[in-house]
Amino acid sequence: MSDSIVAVLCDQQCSSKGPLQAANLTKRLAKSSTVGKLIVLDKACQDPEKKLKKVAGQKILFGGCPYLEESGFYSLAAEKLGLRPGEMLVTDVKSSILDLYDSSTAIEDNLIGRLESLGRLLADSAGLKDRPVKLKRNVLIFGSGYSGLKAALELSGEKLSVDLVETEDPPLAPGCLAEGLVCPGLIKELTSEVRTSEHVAVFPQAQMGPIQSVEKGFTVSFGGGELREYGAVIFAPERSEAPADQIGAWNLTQLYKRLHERRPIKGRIVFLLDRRSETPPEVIQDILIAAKVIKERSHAELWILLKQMRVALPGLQELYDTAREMGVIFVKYENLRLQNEFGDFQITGEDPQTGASFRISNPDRVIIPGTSGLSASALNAAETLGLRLLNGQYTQPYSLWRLANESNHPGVLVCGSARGNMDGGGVAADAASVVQALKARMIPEGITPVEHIASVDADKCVYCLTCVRVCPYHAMGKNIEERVAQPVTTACQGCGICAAECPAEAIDMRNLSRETVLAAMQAL
Amino acid sequence: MSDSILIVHCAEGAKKALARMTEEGYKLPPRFKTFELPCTGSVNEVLLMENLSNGAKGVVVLGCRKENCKHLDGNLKAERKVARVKRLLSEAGAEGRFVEMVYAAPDEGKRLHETLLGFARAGEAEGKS
Amino acid sequence: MIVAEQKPINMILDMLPENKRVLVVGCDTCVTVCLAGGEKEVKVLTAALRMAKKEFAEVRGLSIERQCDGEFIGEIREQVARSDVVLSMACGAGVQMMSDFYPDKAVLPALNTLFMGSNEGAGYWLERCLGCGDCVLDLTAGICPRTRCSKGLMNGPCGGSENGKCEVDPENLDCGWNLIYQRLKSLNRLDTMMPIRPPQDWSKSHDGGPRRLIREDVKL
Repeated sequence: MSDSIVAVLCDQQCSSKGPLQAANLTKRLAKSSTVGKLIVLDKACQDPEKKLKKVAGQKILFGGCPYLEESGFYSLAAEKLGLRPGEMLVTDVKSSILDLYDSSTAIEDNLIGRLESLGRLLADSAGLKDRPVKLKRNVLIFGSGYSGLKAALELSGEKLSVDLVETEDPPLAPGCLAEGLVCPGLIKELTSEVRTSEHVAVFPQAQMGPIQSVEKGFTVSFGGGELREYGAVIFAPERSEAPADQIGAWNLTQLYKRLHERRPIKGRIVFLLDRRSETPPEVIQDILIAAKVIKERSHAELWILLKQMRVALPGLQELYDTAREMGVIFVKYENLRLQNEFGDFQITGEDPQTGASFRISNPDRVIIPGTSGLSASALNAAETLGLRLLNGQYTQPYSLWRLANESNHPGVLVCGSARGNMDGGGVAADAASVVQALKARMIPEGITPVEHIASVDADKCVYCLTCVRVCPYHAMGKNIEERVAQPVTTACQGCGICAAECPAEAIDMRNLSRETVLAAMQAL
Repeated sequence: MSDSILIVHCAEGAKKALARMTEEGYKLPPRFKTFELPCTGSVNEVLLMENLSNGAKGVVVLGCRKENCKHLDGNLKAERKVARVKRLLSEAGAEGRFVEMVYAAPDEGKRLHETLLGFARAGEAEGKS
Repeated sequence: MIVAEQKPINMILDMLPENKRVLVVGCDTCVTVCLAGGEKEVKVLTAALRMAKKEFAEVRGLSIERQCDGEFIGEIREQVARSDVVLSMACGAGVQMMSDFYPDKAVLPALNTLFMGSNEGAGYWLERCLGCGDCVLDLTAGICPRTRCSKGLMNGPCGGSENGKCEVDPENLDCGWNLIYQRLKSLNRLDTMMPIRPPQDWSKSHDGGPRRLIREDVKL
């Protein structure tokens, strides 16, 4: 079994419910041709390092709770074992492990299935053998922000194999998420779904060689000399742009990066929130945690200016209180003015309740939640792919941005905020368009159509544009000749929101017309 | 008016929540009927009002957790519709009938079960008064 | 377009006589677009009336293209004949025309007609036009001094204009004349503001009964 891999299940944090049914799993995996050995590292294990060292020299499939990845456990283990990307894979098995305590065979089946399929993937890859074996996969997705994650999930739902690559550190969803452009809860759920999908291999902090195009697609070499071939590439890096209006202002991603790198942040720091739009409570939570860290490290003079103190999140009020105790100055403002004359920078405004004015002179750093921009590694990858930048966006052959953007390099689809400044809705719409386009190309016969596409009754439509405004995918357009709304069927995701909002009851979902629905409900 | 309570739920998180609830052994009495739609955002006031006027005692709209709607904010749109119908019902003096919005947490089967049963009990109390 | 909003349902219920056959009639034009009285709203109101505390013999609902053109009102002759009360979800013009066509039925308004205005965004309509009959938008860079100025001044602004806001509601109301000034300035036409204009001829507006428009060139 020299080509088999070792599966290491890590359950450091959650074993309060009792011992893992390791014996069961080992018995079942004894018949596996992929997973040669199973090791369980749980709280009962006294010397996990010793246990791991026993399998040094083999490829390892790690499985555990996502917390372990965030805490750097796998990177540390990989370091100790001298593993390089391509020689290890990480997957989330948290819920399955917890469920194992109920000894349900179905859940065990699921876990074993996943271990075996990912194990096969790992076993087939080059890694230690240093053989440039071409492993064929369907799609390479560069970037694990919202668009990358969403595309990965949807494509894997069609049983297309996907490699999701993230080169930034910290991995997984900086950019749009940090700036509050996409809801954090949604990202967390997508992330965990992607990690548990058997068709998606995630490469956080990947070291990739240049992407080369070959006859039927693209090849990339990963660290360790392993070569993979893909039918298509989705370029979906999150952008992180410095706010344009203030010299030297940072956006949140830039702040978090510096905090992560433990670079000094001191002096007079001002957070300017709510200027363009309301800051979501999850983003405020992140900001307050960052403020605490800054205060602890450097005792900086910290101001947080906002229009509203959002508290609609458990634990948020306590964070505000702690921040205040640490000396963070909160100011609710209106009539904010920023004046920069000959290097003298003044921020003035008024407290809306008392009318009293405030002034902050010459801050050392202003932090403004930003829009999105492109990271250095994304720019590098783009250059390697030969993508052309035009006005800060990747070339689009179509003027309607909601249609899938095939870049100037055929077979490379650009997705999400790399195409320009988009809000959360725009990013979602774009990911959906790209996925539809790729599905149509890669599985022409077997494509699972979206079941309930919208259709507009032209006689009833009053062209009020409510549906156009309300569609989360920007998938409703205007038929200019007939003066009615017209769905873009390739982008429609069948959510039914347009049908609900239409004041003329002119929209029905295919196979789900309002009469059918009401009749079916009556029949219950 | 019958005593049936219709649960209109989405095909995503709410469906999982109901499945999880059943898996954990929490069953709903037969007066509860369920109907699946792609997203709770596709629920509008007509659907709620016509089900009630056609005899249902109550309609529960069960959607994904607030930030977790697959279609971005369909569940929030549904909540606004439910709020409007609630107002209409109370202002029109429509007794004994109710609508409620519930955001499903897929890992809280027991709580979901209690919430749903709670609506049924409250509805009964109202009818009796 | 005409912007209207539904009356509160308890007021509608007060208007309707008990135990009668009610026909709810919607309109597919302006009130559909401002989400007050189209097909969907007809269905919602019909269901609400059926469940209301007050009892009616029967409640039915339908919607027609426009209630300001007799041809469409004529189409529902038979349904109206089978009802006692017509609850119109059209604007004031529609309710009145409906009443003209069916003078033996009680025709009741389900909406309050508010103004002629524009849709500024989802769920937000703003009054733009008073129908004063004497449009001066050429002089004011496309901003109406009747609707946008709280006092309807012809030679504004007044002394209550501060920081571009109207003293009537400084948080929400822009001073209309400040808006006019800024736009004329950006168009390099401030000279238009200089002459003192005589006050509006309000006889062209609501004055001496309903206004009429007769176009000889179109009469049959």
